Amino acid sequence: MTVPSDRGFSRRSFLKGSAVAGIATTGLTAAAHAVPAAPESFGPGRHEIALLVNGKEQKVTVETRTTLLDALRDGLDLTGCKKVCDRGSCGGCTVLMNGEPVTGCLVLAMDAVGQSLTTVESLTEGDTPHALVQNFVKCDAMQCGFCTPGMVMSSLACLQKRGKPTEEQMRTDLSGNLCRCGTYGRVMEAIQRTAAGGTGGGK
Amino acid sequence: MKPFTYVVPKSLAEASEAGKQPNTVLKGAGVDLIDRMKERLQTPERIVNLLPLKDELAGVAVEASGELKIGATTTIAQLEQHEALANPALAGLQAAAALTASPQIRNRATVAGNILQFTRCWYVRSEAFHCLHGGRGPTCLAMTGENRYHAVLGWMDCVRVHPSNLAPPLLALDAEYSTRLGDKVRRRKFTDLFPAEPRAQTAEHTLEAGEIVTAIHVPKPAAGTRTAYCESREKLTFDWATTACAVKVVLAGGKIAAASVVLGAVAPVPLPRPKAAALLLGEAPSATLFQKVAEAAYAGASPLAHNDYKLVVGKAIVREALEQATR
Amino acid sequence: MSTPRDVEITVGYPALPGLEDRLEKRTVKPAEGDAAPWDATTKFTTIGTDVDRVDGLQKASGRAKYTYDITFPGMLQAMILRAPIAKGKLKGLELDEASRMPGIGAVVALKDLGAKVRFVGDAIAAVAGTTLNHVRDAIEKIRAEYDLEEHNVDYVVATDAPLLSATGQIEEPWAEAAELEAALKEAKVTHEATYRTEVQTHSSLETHGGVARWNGNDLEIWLSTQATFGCRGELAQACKAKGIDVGTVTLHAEFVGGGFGSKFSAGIEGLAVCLLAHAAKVPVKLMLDRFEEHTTTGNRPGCLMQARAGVDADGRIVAWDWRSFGHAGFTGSGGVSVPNYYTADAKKRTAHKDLNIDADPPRPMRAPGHPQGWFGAELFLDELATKAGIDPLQFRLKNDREAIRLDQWRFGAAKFGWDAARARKNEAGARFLTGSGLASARWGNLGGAGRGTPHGITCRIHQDGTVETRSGAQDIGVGTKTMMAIVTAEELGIPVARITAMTGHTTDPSGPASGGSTLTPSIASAVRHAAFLAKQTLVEIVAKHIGVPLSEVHCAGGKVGSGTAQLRWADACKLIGPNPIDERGKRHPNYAEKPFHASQCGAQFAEVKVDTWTGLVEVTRMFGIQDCGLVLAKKQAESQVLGAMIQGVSYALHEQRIMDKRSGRMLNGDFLRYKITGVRDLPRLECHMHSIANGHDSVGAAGLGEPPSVATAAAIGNAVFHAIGVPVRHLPITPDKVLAALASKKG
Repeated sequence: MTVPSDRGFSRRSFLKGSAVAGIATTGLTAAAHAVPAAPESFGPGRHEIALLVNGKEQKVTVETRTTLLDALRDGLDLTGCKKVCDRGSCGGCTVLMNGEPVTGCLVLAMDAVGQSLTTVESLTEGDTPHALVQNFVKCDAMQCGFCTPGMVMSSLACLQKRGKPTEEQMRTDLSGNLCRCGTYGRVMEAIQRTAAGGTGGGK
Repeated sequence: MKPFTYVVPKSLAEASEAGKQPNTVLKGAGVDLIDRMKERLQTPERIVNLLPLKDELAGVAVEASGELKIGATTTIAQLEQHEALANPALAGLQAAAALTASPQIRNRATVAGNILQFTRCWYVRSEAFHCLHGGRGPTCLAMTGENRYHAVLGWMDCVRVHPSNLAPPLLALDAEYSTRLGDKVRRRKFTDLFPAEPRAQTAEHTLEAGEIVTAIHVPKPAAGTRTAYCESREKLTFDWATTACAVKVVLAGGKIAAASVVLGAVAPVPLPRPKAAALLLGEAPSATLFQKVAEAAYAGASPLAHNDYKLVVGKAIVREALEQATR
Repeated sequence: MSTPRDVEITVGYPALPGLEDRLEKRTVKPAEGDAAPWDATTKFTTIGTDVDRVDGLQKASGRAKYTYDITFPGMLQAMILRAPIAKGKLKGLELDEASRMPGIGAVVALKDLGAKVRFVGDAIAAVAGTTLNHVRDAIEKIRAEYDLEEHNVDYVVATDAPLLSATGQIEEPWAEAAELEAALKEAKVTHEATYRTEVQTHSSLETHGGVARWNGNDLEIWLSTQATFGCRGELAQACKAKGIDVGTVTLHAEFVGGGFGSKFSAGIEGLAVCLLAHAAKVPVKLMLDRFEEHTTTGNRPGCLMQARAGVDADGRIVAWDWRSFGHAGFTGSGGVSVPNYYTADAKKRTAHKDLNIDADPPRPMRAPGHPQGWFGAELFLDELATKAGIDPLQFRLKNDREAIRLDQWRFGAAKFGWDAARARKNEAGARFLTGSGLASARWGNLGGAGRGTPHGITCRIHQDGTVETRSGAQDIGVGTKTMMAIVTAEELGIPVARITAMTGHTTDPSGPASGGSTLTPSIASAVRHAAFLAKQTLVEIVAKHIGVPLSEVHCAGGKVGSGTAQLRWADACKLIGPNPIDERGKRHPNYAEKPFHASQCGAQFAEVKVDTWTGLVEVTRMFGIQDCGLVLAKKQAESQVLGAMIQGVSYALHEQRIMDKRSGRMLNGDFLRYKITGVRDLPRLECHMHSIANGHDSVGAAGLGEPPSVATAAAIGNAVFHAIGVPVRHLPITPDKVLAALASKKG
């Protein structure tokens, strides 16, 4: 007998997840439910889905062909998630899905139902910005700033996974994020500074 | 993307049945699929989402027999980080997973998706070009066009290369794969997954409509087995391999008792090179031997106008993989 | 108010370690009413210190709204139909079916029937609809027909391109020049070689585009641009030319996701979004996709360069002959610049020819013409030095005529460990070879007051003690807002935290484009002037309040007052009343007196590791020294210099546009095959900010977009030459070229 032993592996099924998140109560879905033998299906029109974003369930209307990136930006105005290449090659739209960085442009919004999503905006929701965000500023880990939110999310995942990452680990974890202005070195400084617990003061 | 119906199956049987319908695509993460749908090169009417079938399709496990079972929708990151891969016999597989794309892609893309993905040829992947493999033109445009990243071996009427990182080490490890088609369950040798004659318009894989890869099985490696995977690139960060090589050697008493050499990114399919591997048998590892094997691995190569560098680089990568595996 | 007076200032710079200082006295005449100049002796409290980027938190939190992020209720999204052919005429265009598609709000033609199609990607029509998917569905319903003509997208085979040998060497005879020939004949060592570079695209992460909204005849537009006022004027004209009665045009570009020289014009996409919004009567957003960004918004041109030169027995360059041929797209400039400070005593000649092809033309890109020319020239110099048996550093010390750079060579070589690096020998037969190289940089631009009305700045001091400094010019990421806050803080003697800097709205005073590294030197002294005027007004209010003569009241160190009658800044501001002090500063012309230096010097050193098995080059470390004028925003200036070096690594090793010649279409118009340096390719980088007081205006700032971009690829090219013993004369230095070079060495 096979025993899945991967700890990162969720055994919760999509349907349970989607039931929790309340996927699509469209006429089309109701019709699909009326024929129990067929799998549940969602037609080409518009559907209201619920996404679990930054700990809150948020309703958004999408088509089946809408990407998570477009749902976040156009549906929820979470524009920290940037559209840069729209092909998974630059990391500008990095969000965390169940704690792991993914590129929102290569995820269908429908696939994200029932997943826990974290966007860069979550880091400044409280009274004080997250230390990592503060250290991006402190280390000047940005220029034009367009790659920066994606960099922040990859850096956050790096810190959450590694604690005190080595340079090699930082380079691995940031390798999906492209910066045209050339801020990589300072992004790594911001990660290191956060890992060391520094948040303010001089450079 | 064009509009489509999104189907959420409750079971493998349901998924397979749905997958048999015309103009229907089975989707794992969809990393490759979404990319082509955005280019409107693939315009399915229905997409069957396999990701919810985690119990049936996801996870990595070592079975009682010592065989490693990799669920088809296991992500590349999950595979890479699985404790079972911290083993010299599987080092090649782990390296191949670690070198794939970017962290974001590895966290999302599935093992089966990596193996079954469509070629990255820049002609066939663009809506603007009408080429033979895409079924829209009379010739292979890369053969006479810009082909620095194209095939040097094993090509027929189309010079695409197979982009999978994971396929070469799995072939080197004599892996097998299981599929489900309706209620039929099949298990076959990994070599059967790829077309024997990879012509233009031949699918990248040999699966039937609705046939779902459920798992990949890596047999328990013999004692003394070591694998390695190396690839050449043009930059160190997030790049496609220009050439790749996976090797397996079984060392016994300082001599090589069994060996495989499989090339990636140089032919329309991942390419086992048994004649090259045979040169290793009964020999002690040495730089001279490895050079001979590298030459043999690229014997019969037919480079194109802009990619003869791949022969030099490719041979170096074979040597490097052999050195790593015997170090 | 002050009157014109002679002011003695100290210009130049204190000694770099181990060298002499270069401080000089100058007497300058500031304009009436301007602040007294800062100079090399000024003790600053904020300038030159580490100050956090003032909009850093907005950027790092994802809350900064770029043009791409602007959205309005009912806003439509838009896309452009692009020509699939490289050359021909538009024969037919049928838009009706597209306009009847679901969700479509407007369709406009962008090219007239019979008009020329000049490159793949030329704009034909534009469509706006509820989502981009719907727009794309509609675009597929547009029927466009073309008359095809033969095209060419390879400048190397353009009709007036030079003859090339099988190995890519220019074989064209040189035009006659008797004196030059004589100098070459007399030279002890001569050398001749051909160099080549490929097309680099700007690849700004935020693509070009805008969001347009009409209110009657008035247009409000958000545009990703590096020239707010230029684009405002351009769009007003372009809309009028399309028959629209245009009232006021207001443009916003508060955050811009990179430009690098590609965003001076609003372009066809800027016009299209205005036309669509006008037609649809709702706001419309049109942002280019990545392929359009690579293929329709300009590039750094590729070029062929050839040099021949001779040196005498002392190692001095006595003859220098240079010619270049640049790709110019269907119109434009493929110009190439080369250093002229090595050849002051030589008989010399330079020539350039543009070659037209049926492709997207070049636009200025970070030091236009320089990185490519310096790559050719500096590698040529190293080849020449090697032939003459002279160390490359010594060769430059012998020939370089610029005193500042001579200091930089010496200082940089010591910091980098040049002599030791060059003395290190690679083991025979080693797989990895290391090598070191150096190259110079020069950029000349001190900025200016602007044509017509001078560049202006608003400075407001509010009752609550906060201060605003505002420019209608844009901050494309270099830290303009931060620089403005720092200069204002310095002038007012208060912390940066009290100051809000704003850029990018044309409702604020006009400012220059971000181009040619002129923005900072063109507005820094206007920022200071505005703060200076506001300070004077505050001083007047305080003087009246405490009842002392105006001349005895000072504003410094967070206090305003005289002697023991000092008010804290916050208390002084309380006297202002409900209307803030609101002053308009301006950029006065540069001083008539000669500045310390009219151009910025720099030098960079690179170390590489070459894998002889795979041909892969890794840049392991770099050191750069950059003349920065007066360093205002230190942290941001450093970021810009380091970033330029990283871009240079990318240009040296990875970047090239690859065209399918038959179709004229770019094959790698994405970020997978158009390769840009990532974090794993990042060398260890260090820079020295060489702060120099040049005395050209009351601040003496310089820009840093261009200067640090010039030397990097050249230094890397020289390091590769040192490592493998043969030059790779063609950028980018990809594995295939390195392997070919290694093979040529063996053969």
